[in-house]
Amino acid sequence: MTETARVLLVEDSPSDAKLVEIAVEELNWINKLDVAEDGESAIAYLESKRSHPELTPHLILLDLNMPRMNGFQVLDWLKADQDFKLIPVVVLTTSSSPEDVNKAYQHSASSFISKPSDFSAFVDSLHTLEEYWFKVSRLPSTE
Amino acid sequence: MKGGILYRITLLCTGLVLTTALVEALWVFRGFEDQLVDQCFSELKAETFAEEVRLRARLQEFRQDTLFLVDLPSLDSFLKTRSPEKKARLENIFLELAKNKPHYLQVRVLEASQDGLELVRVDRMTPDGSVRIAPDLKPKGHRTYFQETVSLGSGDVSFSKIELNREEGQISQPPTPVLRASSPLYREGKLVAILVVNIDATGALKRLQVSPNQADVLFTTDSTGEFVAHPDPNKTFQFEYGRSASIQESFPEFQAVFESASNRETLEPVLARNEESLAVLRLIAYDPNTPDRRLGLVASRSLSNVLAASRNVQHHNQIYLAATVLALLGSGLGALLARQIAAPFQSMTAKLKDVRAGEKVELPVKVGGEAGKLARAFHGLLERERAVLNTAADAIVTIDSEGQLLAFNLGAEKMFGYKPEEIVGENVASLMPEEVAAEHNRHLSNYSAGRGTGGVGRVRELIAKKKDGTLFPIELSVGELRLNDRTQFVGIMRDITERKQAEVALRRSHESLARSNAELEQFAHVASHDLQGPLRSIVSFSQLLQRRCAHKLDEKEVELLNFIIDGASRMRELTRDILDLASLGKEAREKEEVQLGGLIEKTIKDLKADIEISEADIEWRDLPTVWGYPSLLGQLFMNLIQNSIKYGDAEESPQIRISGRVDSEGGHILEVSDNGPGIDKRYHNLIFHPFQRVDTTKDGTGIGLSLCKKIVERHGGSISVKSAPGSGTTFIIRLPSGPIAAV
Repeated sequence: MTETARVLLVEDSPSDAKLVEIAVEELNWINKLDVAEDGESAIAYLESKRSHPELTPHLILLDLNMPRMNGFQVLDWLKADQDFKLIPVVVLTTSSSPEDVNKAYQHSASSFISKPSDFSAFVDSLHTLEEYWFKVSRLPSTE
Repeated sequence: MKGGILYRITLLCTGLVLTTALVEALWVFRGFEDQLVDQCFSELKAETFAEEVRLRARLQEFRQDTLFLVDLPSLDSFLKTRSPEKKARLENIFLELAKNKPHYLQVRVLEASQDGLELVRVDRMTPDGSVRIAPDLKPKGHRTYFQETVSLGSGDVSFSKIELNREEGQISQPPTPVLRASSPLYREGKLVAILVVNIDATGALKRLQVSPNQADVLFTTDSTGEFVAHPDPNKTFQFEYGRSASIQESFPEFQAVFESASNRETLEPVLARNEESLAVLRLIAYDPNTPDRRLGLVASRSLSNVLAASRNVQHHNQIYLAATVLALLGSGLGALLARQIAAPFQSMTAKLKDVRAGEKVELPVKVGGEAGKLARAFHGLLERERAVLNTAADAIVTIDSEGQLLAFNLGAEKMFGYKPEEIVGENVASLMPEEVAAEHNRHLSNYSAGRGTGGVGRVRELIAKKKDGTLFPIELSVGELRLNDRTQFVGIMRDITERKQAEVALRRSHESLARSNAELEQFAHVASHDLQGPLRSIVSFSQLLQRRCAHKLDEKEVELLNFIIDGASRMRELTRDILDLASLGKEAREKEEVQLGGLIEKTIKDLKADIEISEADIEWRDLPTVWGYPSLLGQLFMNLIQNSIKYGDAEESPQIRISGRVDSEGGHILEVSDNGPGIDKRYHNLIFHPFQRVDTTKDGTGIGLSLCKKIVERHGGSISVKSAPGSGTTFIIRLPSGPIAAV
């Protein structure tokens, strides 16, 4: 994995976004993490990268409950977009309800993770996430 | 009255009587007397036939006796030798014979030639009846019997006409009827002599006068009808004295029979009748060589005897007449009786004919018999109807097929505000708003035309209109009354205003309950779900603070930080349990068979860590298969086992026993007991309430047991506790038996 690996976190809760940032910091995550504070911002962010494939994120961490445009809508938009539909999306949410899990996969999410409420467990989850997506798996090429 | 019950009963009775009497009379007068006469002739014929049989038997006897004499060897040897010895011997034999046969008057042998000279003769002497050998022998060649016999063949016997015996040409006294039997004697094919036996026929004729029926008179005549046997001796053999006494004097019809008899071979019995008697004549030819030599056998019965039976019948006829009169009287009485019987019926008919529903009617209930019974039955029916109509809170109305109101009960009066006299006769449409009335009329005309049900037989809800115009909802049921010539409908209406209001209120409260339930669920969901985020922040950042800044804080500050972390952690558990409790009602899957043994094993596996730490000992036995939701039942046992472990005695390792049994109604009783410190009785009710905690020294939300209760109740069962401080705790769960029999 190169230094240029990019991750987009879509998260409306500043505290949760902060937690992710701290966890990434603690894990010495090698990747670049950008944060969008809701669905619309995420789409705006992605539109801004459309003409720059080299800046397009390799992985998206997506919250579900968000104002203006929720996670499912973002998923639909992504999967309908020729440029971005190949980007794996990991749903990272407070919800653990089976309905939400099923619904997320129906909307073509690649993975579903419930946010642990304990900080160290939260760090563990992100560690596993990095290990899996950037060390074990191969991601589609963005260029 | 015409065609009424009285008229019909009378007509029937009279008709019956007259028909019977007429038939009887016709039968008797038409045929009975003729039948009696016929019957009598038959009987008389039978009697003459019996006489014929007797006569023929007698003649046969005479014939054989004669032939016996003809064949006597002594006679043969006498004729051969003509010696005086042989003659004397033959005379002796004839004497002996005559002595033994008292009806032999004379036995003779005549010379066939020499003018029929008597060769041997034995005479019975009158009046003493002694027999002697005749001293004087005479020629008899001129006598009819001689001339007849010489022409006979060997073995033939000729019988003479019956005449009175004569001695020396004079009728011997007392007059004795005599019959001569004669037979020729042949020697070497040549007629040599003739044997003649004179037989006293008195006995034979007497026997012919014995009738089995004493009412009958029997006569015997010769072939011309002259009496040879008659109950009156003066009437017999009158021809011997130059007079005549014959049967045809009494029955002239027989005259022709005697005259023509000689021309006929077989003679049928002939019937005759005079004013006094009936008679049958049978002519019997008794000498085969002279077919017209006959005896007339007559049996007679007086008409008075014949018609004795008829007189009985006449007597009967009088009885019939009397009976007819009586029967006619009976008819009259019957008619009167019928009038009396019919009167209550007529009165009832008149009163019931135009009776209106609910009206009081006086019926002849005190009358006895069927009419009274019927009246009482009707009275009962009417009173019941009246009671129903007058006490029913429902409106009960009757309409005809045009919709015209015929009856309007008290309930209807109260419901609609009309008096019966105001509304009866109006159209039922007055009781409805216009649009309903139009609909109703359509129903009615469709039904009359044979289309649709007209609402008969089902209950409808519709809007009705009171006298003051107020509209109100009713429930209407319609019954059909099919009378002889017309159809009526009975409508029963119930004011359902209150029910409608109650229904609306109920629906509203149900809706509001459902709404508040949904809101509550939503709240629980939000509370537990959406609180997770802030909680996570509190917990995580507190932990982060603890981790990064612990070295900068003193002991007191660290403790304060720990309070934040603990409080947040507890709240996290609480919200999670609330979520469980709130989402429990949403379990949508179907129930299935759950093997509790397997379920417990799985639960224990899930609790492996807790069990190992606490060194808990868990045993289970007799666990049934129940009907339920596996995940919920798993959660139930998990909670109970966790509780026993968590609240167990600190000194002893927990011992948990789970067992099952079947109750008297086939349901399941499951018991989960432990050796823990036990629960005081006053907390037994509290422990199943959410957030109620008894032991606050241990972590816990107080949701666990209320969740257990909710799970058991979701299965239609119940949970209770049996416990006392120091003696452990037993939870008793009752589950109903499922659709599949427990194993």
